[in-house]
Amino acid sequence: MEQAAQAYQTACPGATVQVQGGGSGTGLNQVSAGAFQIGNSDVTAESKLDAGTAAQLVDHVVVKQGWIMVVNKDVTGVTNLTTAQAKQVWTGKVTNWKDVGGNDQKIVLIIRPASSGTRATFKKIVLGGANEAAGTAVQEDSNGAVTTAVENTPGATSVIGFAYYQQNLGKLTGLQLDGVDASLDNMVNGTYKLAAEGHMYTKGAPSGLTKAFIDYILSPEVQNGLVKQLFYAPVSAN
Amino acid sequence: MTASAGTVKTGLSARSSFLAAIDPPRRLTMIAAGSMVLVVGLLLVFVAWNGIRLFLFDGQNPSLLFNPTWLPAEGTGQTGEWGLLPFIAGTVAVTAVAILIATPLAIGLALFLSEVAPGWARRIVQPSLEMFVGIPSVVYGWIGLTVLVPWLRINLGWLGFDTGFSWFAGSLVLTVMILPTITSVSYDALRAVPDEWRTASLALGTTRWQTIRHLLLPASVTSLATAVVLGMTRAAGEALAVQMVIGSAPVLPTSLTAPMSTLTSQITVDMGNTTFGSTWNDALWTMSLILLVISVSFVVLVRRLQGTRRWQ
Repeated sequence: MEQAAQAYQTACPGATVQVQGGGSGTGLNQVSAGAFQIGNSDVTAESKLDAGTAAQLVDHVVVKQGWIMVVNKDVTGVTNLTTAQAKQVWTGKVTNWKDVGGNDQKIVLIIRPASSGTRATFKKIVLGGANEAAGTAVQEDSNGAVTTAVENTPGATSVIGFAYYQQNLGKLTGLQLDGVDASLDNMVNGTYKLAAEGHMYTKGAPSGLTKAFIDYILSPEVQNGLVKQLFYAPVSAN
Repeated sequence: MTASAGTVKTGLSARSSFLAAIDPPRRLTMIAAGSMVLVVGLLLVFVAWNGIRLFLFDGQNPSLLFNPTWLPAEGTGQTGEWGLLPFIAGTVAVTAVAILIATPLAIGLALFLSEVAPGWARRIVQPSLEMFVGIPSVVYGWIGLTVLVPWLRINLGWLGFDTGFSWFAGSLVLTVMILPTITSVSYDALRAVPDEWRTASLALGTTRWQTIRHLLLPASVTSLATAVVLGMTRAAGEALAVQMVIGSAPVLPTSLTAPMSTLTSQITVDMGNTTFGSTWNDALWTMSLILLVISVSFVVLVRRLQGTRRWQ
């Protein structure tokens, strides 16, 4: 998003687009309160806000983003998990990697906090709504903290953003889901399941610069350029 | 704060009005003091109001404070369970262990500095302690995350440290953070014991240890207790450093080797992901209110302790 704002400001001198980071609720909070014009979110407004507040927001789907299951490099022999296997691992029915084709090593789950969008998406798509075996599992928010924890803990597994994974190749082993590689093509054609729409929300219909910026993000130039370059998949309209 | 204001009379005629009785510099300092009190007051009211929303508007029952199940849910038509006991117990547990480790170390160090150390050693140890206080908590957390957590997992894995993220890691980081506070306040307390008492005691033929044991420690016990409470205040309120090493698992603390969560770390973890006005967000406010109540009671405790000095 920062890169998009910079590119837009270069392409259109005189426009100022400020970008702020935050968790899965920050964007929705700020746009609902009218503090910002656009609030980005990896989950839908309806899943975070009450119906009345969510109804005031207009959804713009701008990218498709993927997540990838990752394991510590000490885990060998596992390159793929089926949805059923992933569910067993994450609900605590399987507690050793040897039971899903790997070496004899205890599985250590690194879980996102319950408020995280990544956790909500993974729970919906892969676990079919089943609860994770949270128990005393380590909880880390943010791709960076999760990556560090998985990288340093033998037998650890977690889920991180595909874009973040691509930018930090080599630290972790990424897994296929149901035998399908996590790749932009597979996200676009829908064979890789662990992907969801990335939203930009506006309060009411966008106008002026806000509209221009969203249109710019949706333009083929950005969708096929910057979006792919940053390892997000373009939305199918293009 | 303004106790001495009324006694000064200026000029020939002593003015009777309270405002007129105070000259401009005094007025300025009063405004400074007053605005500080005002800010604290507003803060208390604000946190208190947001903290009770969970019970007033979200239909939750105050028995949540003793409910060990944290299963939050949000969005349209979802219901969750918002038990706060894991975090309250977590804060108490992590603080307690840190205090247990830090207190003997800190008081020992303070005794060394005030009674045993030669002047040159004091000149080295004291500035190093002050430097400790100045290190930002994120640095402690970062070192904890990259050094302490892997060290616990690799070297003490046989004790049950599966990942290293644990209650014990949190308490150790806190110990390092509160050690300088407790030490320097204890040191001041020991120095405040009049030197005549020491010489009198030594003149009776006691050893240095006997003087410490039977004179210095009893004489300064309330001040030492104050030092410990100040350390507890800092420990209970610390967020970032603890959150980075504790594992943030929202469960009751049952084992020193397992991840757990505290009030502060749960607020840190969830605040960016929840939306204003949601039950979840209100639950975080309630946690803030509990923290505030804890630190206010510590302050009250310190003031009471100071009111009961044994000597002087």
